[in-house]
This record gives sequence, C-alpha cells and structure tokens, in this order.
Amino acid sequence: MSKNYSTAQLMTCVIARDLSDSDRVAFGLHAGIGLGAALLAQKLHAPHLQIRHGLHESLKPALSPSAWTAEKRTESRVSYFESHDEMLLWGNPTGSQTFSSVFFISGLQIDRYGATNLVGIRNQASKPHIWLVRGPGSIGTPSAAWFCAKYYLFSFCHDLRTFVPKVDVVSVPGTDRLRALGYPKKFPRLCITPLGVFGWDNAEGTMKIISLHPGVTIDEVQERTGFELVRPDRVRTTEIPSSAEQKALKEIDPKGEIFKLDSTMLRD
Amino acid sequence: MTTIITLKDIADLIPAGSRLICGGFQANRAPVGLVQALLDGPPGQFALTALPNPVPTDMLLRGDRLSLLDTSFNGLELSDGFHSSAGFRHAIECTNIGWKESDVYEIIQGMRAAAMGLPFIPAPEIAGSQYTESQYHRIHRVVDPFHGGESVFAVPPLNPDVALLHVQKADRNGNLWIEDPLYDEIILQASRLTIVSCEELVDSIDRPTISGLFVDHVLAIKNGAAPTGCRGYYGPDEKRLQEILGGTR
Repeated sequence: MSKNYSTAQLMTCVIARDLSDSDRVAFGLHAGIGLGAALLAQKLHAPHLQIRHGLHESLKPALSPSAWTAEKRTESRVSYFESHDEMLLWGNPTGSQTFSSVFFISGLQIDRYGATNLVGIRNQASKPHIWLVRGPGSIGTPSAAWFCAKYYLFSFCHDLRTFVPKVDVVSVPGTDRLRALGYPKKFPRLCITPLGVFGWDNAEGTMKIISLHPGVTIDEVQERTGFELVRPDRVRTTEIPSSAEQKALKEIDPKGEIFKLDSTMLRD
Repeated sequence: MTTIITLKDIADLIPAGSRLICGGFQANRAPVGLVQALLDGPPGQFALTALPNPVPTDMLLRGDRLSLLDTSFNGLELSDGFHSSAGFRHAIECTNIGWKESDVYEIIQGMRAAAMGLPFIPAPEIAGSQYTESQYHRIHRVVDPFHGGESVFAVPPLNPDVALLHVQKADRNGNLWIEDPLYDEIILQASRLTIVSCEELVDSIDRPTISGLFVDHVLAIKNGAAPTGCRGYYGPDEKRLQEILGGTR
C-alpha cells in the first residue's frame, strides 16, 4: 500500500505531537522540521505555542499566511527575523523572561549518549588533528541545549557514519558527560530519524528505541546504527500522520516548501 | 566625527595584521563590497572573528588573506538545502591557518564585554561541550561571588580592530537606518574602527537605528551586499552564492 505522506512529514508529526501549548519553540539553521512541527502543533492542539527566531529571511519558502503566528498573519513569507544576539537577552533559564523552551539540534555525528558533533570527523588513519570532513561548526547549539528546557535531536540520515559509538568532537554533550557533571536527568528529549524515534530516558543513558516507522525492522535499524541500541520489550510502530494532521500539513505548507528544505537526503 | 570616504580609502584604513569582524548573517547584508575593496588593496593578512557569516569569510580565505580565523559556524542555508563552505573546509583541512572555534554566544558576549569595557563577562553555560577544552579554549569558569561559591563560565573581551558593515541607509553624520537589525550595534560598539557602507547615503536620518557616534567612516556602495541580500533592496542571489561557496551539501 503506498504512503500518502512523506518521511519528513512523519518525522514532523512525531515532534508536533510532543510539543505543548506553553512551549516557546526556537529553531535555527537547517531546522525547518522544527518550524513545521511548531506550526502543526499550533494548529492542532497548542494554539498558544510561540515560535521564535525564525531566521527564514535567507530562505524562500512561501508558507501559507494562515499558518504563521498571529502577528504575522498578513505576511506572505516567513520573515520573522530576530537579532542574532537576542537569544542572550533572555536566554538564561533563570532569567525573568524565557527566550525559548524548545530547540532542535542535529549533527554530522550523534552518538549512543546523545552527544552531537558539528565540528568535524577526524581522519582516524592519520594524526588526530587532521580532518576527514570539517563540519560547519556548532554555532549556538552547545548553549542552546542548556538554555532550553527540552531539545530534540534529529537527523535525515540514519547510517553508520552518523550514528557512532562516540562522536569525534563534542558539540553538545551526551549523558556520559552530563552524568559526570552531576546532571543525570539532562538528555535530549527525543531523536527523530527516517527510521524511528529514539530516547535516552533509561538507566543506561544510551540511545533506546521508542518506536520504529512503518516498515522498518529492528534488524534494519540496528544494522544502520554504529552501537547497540537499547530495545524495549515491545517495539511500537510510529503512528502515521492522521487525517487531521495531513490536512493541517497541507494548510501550513501548501507548496511543500518546509519539508523539501530538510528532506533532500531522504528518498521517499 | 564620521567622515565620508571612498572605496579607494578602505585598504589604507586597515593595516595588515588587523582583526576584522564583518556584519551580516548568512545570506543577509554581508559587507561584500567592503571586503572586496580590502582584497583589491595591497597584500597582507588579517585575523577574522566570524559570526555565522560565510561569504566574507570565504572571500578572505580564498584570497589567502587570513592568518587566523576565530569562528563559530561556516556554511549557508539556501532554498535547496545546506551548503558548506569549500574555502573554509579547505583552509582547515589542508592548510596551517590558525583557527579558534567556540559557541557563537561566547563571541557575542566577548564583544559585549569589549563594548562595556569589562575585563570579562559571564557567558552561557556550555558545560560538557568540548569547546571548554584544549585548542578550543577561550572560556573559563569563575566563581560567582554572589551565590554561595557556584561557578559560571566567563569570557574575556573581544575587541576587533575593524568592523565592516553594510546597511540600507546612512546619513552624512554616520547615522544608520537598518531595516533588519542583527548584531550590528554590538560589533560597532566593540570595535576600535568602524567602516559602514550603505545602499543609499542620505542627508539626514531622523530616527536612526544606530547613532553615528559609533561610525567612523561611511560610504555608499550600491549592491554592496550582493550576492547576499539587503532587505528592502534585493534578495540573495542563490546561484551566485552557491558558486562562491562551492561547497558540498
């Protein structure tokens, strides 16, 4: 039976379902999936959810005006552009205001502990300081992971090169470092990939299967992960987009612009 | 007092060895015209502190005009996806360029400290990140004197020698009108010398976004941000940006 949704849309729905009405969602570069999820959640069950730091001035998705925040309903483009240092004015969780409670983070590598690496992949056959692939840099992800009450990891690649036992360079720390620092309860909220949904809320603090997308087997996901995944007693299947979600997705992104941006690596 | 200059003056104003910072963010308002004027001047190398502003960074790297790059992020998100910067990757992977790297907010806070004349300033928490270690090291833990001995991260002031900025409008007193303020004010306040180009040089701006008090030199460069965009005047030229960056996705 053919799907009437894309993998990117499924991933977006997973995140949207987890967002709540009181969330303030910020998203940065190359995280259109976060924007899509926030808009979807706003439309379906979280009307007071706020979206910050759009950064879409540099992009050209023509999102439906009705999808955007109340202040920008007349805009034909997402152009909510905020000063890059705005996050610091009220980013600290102990501050009077809260910039955001939710952020989205990805990486060249993600490891079993939920650490991310946006710095680069080392050439292991050579000296440690030689790069096989120099990444773009971590931008504000190390601090955003601390600013925000929860952060989601996502990757449009689920393969051995991305999901590694230990990242080459730590941009955002994983549970190993966080526990050593005295933060046993701090870890990514979820990790969403084209194969499934994963989490770290377990005794081991290593990546655990929460659900696998329809058609994905445990063997397949394990073959494409560079470390042993923690398996639940019963592996759930990720719920496919409902008719309400599909309708809302069409409304917030009639031209499929958001999902096209992020999902160029997916083959649906 | 702000002086009006021409492109020919740029290279003379910026001696080799200067630490630069450029305004702009991603595909917006990079001071391309000013950077090109610098590249067209006499040879010499500079240090660059770079916020997520890949175009000027790549221009200077490809022109072999950087001895030190202090950065947080290099790459560009365009409508067809993310493009890494080939110049940046080549410089780091294949050359001996000096480089430092940090969370972007360390750089912002460092400039804030410089602007405020502080010896250091608390910085956002990044415990556990490798940016607190070894070659990445800029940030230190200091004891919070007010809250029972807890420690916080702190960074030293970051004083660029020269800020290069492109804006929509400026007047003859250096007052600036910026439709889409980014971190422009901070980089001007932190830097010792500030040079601003504008799409339009007008007689007077009554309600400036940034006061001319922070602007040393101003000049008009039409399309001075191209191929990045300048809001209200032109959008980014994505095809040209892809050619400049020449990176892989």
